[in-house]
Amino acid sequence: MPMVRLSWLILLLCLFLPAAGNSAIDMEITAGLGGQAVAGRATEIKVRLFASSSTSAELQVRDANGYLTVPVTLAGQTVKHLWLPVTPEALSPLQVRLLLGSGEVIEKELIFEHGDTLLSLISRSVPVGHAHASHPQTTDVRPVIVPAESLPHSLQAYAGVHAIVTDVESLSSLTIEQSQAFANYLGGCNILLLANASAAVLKRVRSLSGCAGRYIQSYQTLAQVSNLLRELDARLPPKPPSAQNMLALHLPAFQDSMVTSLGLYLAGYIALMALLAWQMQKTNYLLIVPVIAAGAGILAWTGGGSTHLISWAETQSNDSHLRVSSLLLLGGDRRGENSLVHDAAVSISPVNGLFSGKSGHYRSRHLEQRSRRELSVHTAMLAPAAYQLTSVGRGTPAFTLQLEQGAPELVYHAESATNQARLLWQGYTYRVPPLAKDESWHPHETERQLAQSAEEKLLQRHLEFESPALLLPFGPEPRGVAAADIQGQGWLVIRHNPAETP
Amino acid sequence: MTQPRQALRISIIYSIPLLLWFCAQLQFIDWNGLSLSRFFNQTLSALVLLQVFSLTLLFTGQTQERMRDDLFAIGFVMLFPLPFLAIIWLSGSASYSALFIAVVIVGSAGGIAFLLQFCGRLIAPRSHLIQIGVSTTHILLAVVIWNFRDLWQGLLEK
Repeated sequence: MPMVRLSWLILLLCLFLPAAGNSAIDMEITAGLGGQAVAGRATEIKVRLFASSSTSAELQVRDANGYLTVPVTLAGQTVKHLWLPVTPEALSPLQVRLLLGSGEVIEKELIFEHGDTLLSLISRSVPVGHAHASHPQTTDVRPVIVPAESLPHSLQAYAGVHAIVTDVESLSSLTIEQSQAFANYLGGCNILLLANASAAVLKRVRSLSGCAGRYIQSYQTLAQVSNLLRELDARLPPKPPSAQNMLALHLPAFQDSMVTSLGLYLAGYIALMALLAWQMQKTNYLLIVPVIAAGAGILAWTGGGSTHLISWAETQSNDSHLRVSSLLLLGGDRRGENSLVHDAAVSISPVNGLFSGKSGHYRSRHLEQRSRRELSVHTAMLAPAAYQLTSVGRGTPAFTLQLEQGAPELVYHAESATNQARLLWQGYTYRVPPLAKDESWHPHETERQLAQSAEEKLLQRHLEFESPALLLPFGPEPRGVAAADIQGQGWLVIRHNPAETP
Repeated sequence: MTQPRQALRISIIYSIPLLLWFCAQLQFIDWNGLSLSRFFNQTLSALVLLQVFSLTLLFTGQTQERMRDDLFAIGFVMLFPLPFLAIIWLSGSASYSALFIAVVIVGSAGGIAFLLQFCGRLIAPRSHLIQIGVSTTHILLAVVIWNFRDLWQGLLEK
């Protein structure tokens, strides 16, 4: 009897095990944003997965940034769609691999149409959109017609988008992910043209946008679109500083600390050898000292390094949106593997060419909870891995900055006084004294100074002569990256809002 | 003064200006682009040349030392700049093959220097003619390495 049962069991196992192991999986990938990509900027891809039975797998995407791995769990007989931000390389196709538990690998490639010009996304549902595609293209913008479902699903994928032309119906059909990304896009003072939008709709959308919604307009006819785009483009707020400029804010301190520590190490070693050679009768034993010194140096400067976040936030007076551009420096003070966990929503892209050194490939993976992402990279000493981060923050600045008869006037709104604010105006900087709540202040000629610090000089270069701006110390942003072990420094710039000029 | 002590002295003497140059360069060069990588490759090349010249200085005109002392002296010349090499490795600017080539060049120069001394001592320990011949060969060796520096520096940069 036991033998019969055992035979049945073996038979059942033979029938079911292969079926469990050979789950048929189908993978399809589609390029987002109409297959168009802007050189060096992120776009997105759609991955469609279908499994005949429940299984788990790992999706690997190889793009210009390195490797992105995403753990995927598939329910049987269901279709799963994933939208992933990617930065395709100009000369080679994007590679997507699905690694199954059984060791099977499904590999697909995708080619994007690359260009240097930014994209204007035009909703397919807008009748005028079809006509706009046949409209002569300008040299600085490419029109791309996309259905509403193909509008970006993450802030990263908006990196190459210059403007959006759509209608209210398309916006109302966006998914939650798309709506969040779209809200961040608007918060960053970007251009949106809405077809035949009523005043009430415009007011509502503008209230959600940065720069008081000045870059959101309604249009009625095709002829208006090109002109409106050109007009709004000319009025866009200054771009945040480049990675190179932000690096200049941190590099002197980093350089000084590294030169000092390396100099002390080598000088100490030479002095020790000289002292021992002078003191000791038999110098042969000293042969071990260089080996010990080199070993100590390697031990001291090997392993995970520190992480620095240099942030630069810009806003306008009375605007609750902050456009934040940050430079993240991983490692650089040691040679070894560095890793960092950040929110998946943070737009993060490697900056190449800032440092030399043979750094390893960038690797990032989605953690089990998809909202977090782990980034890891191997760096050498003096060659940190640099990443540019962009995000949109929220927060009403403590100051309002207005022009009163051509001269700037500051009003302070917070309870606790700050004494680190500087006003930049007409080529000079002014120290703002500690102000009480609702107290106002005007700069006096006797208090003016020339720009001294690196951040003042940087702002001075991006400020029109007559236009005033306030510079304040600022906590590291974005908060999705900032952690206790990150050393951060940041500045907030409050610019004068041209719409508030009487 | 014994050969090992002499080797140590020469190494200390050349390493002080090297350290000053190293720190000054690190402070004032542009830390962007490829300048750091180029700087560390230059440091590696300078170390190779300084070690070869140290060997030449050490063995020119020396015939009275014991073989054991000669070996220790070569050991000092080769090992003294190890902390500099450690920094170059940590910077990731030089590949393992470049560091290996640098060690091979200095090691070969040290080996040839030792063999010349050994042969000179074996043929005629007190002959002035042999002493002059050995010293001239040491100098020639240094000249050859200096003359073909473009060749091996190219290998170090790979």
